[in-house]
Amino acid sequence: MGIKKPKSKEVRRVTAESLGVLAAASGIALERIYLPERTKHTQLFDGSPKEAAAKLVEKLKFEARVI
Amino acid sequence: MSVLAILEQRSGQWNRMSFETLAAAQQLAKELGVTVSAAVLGHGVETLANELATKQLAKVYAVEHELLQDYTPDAYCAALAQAIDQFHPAILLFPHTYQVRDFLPKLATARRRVAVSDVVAHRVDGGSVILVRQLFQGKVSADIRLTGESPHFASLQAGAYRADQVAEGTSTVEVVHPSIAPAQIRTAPRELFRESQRAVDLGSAEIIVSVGRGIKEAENIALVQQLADALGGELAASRPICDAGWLPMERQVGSSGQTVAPKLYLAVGISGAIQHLVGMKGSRTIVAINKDAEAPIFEVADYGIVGDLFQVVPELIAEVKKAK
Repeated sequence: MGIKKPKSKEVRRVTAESLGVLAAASGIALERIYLPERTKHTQLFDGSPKEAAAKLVEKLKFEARVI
Repeated sequence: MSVLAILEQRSGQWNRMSFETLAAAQQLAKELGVTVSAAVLGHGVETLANELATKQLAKVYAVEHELLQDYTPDAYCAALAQAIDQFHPAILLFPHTYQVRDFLPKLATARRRVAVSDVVAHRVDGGSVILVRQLFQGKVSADIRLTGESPHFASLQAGAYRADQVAEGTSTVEVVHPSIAPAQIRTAPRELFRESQRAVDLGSAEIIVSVGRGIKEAENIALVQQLADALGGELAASRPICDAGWLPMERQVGSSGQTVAPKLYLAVGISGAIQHLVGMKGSRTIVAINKDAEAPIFEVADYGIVGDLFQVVPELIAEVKKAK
């Protein structure tokens, strides 16, 4: 019951203007949508797990200075 | 024309994103060749305002009112609306905190403006400002130009700007007393509480070691906990780990968990689904350990080791202990 009723209903279209909304006055304009560029350069450390771990810790300590 | 940074405090403590916003406001103002000021709202915020007076700012506004003691959207919007009418800032920048998310749309909409939320970068193009924000969980970026009359409103994503780049200087504090009537405030804040007893605040952690599906078994998480302990950091996880109940939800990083921007984020066995990346890519330094060299986590990592975490992590714990 009621499922078919919408079919017979009138679709009323309203515009922003008729509602008194000034879309152009929002203060922003969408200029461009794009896929973000990859900007990071990743340093990968090879070698045995021990060598790679040692290299990573050295970088974290002396280059990134976070530990 | 001027830029105004609205900084966030609670009970006299800064939200640390406030200084990222301050740095962003200074940079934007410099690029536009205009002045920059900062405002802090609350009751008894003079100490905080005085702290801002040591930064390179045209003016510091201490917006004082006893009804601003505890945050309510009504009081904040009333106070800010008056500040805008009084000082006519062209661009207002906010940290994209939960609180700002709560009141900023109301403040902007009341002025028939659209607030640009979760901004990650900006540039000045032909004298006007373009803000970059992310759509669809960071898959797509959008450039949004500020047009027409001021004021304009924008909130900045955690980690998008660096708090340590705030320019020092001297400024003067102006205490502002907005008129707010108790009847204007339709909500009464109750006491703040944490969801759980053993709550963790990942947002304030400087080092986070995060674990993902690569850990295979719940028992193996202890290994990653050891690494976090060695580094003096907090343990976090991607969604599958928390969904499995191996770690509590409050440690989840990503779009359905927390957004974090620590100094160091170490991702162990996390492939880097976009829902995870959006929650951590603002971190200053990102390290990834993953056996799959093609894993998307390496796209946001500064340093990476492609290898078996069960071999790499024990070595890493040993090296960290040695280095300390």
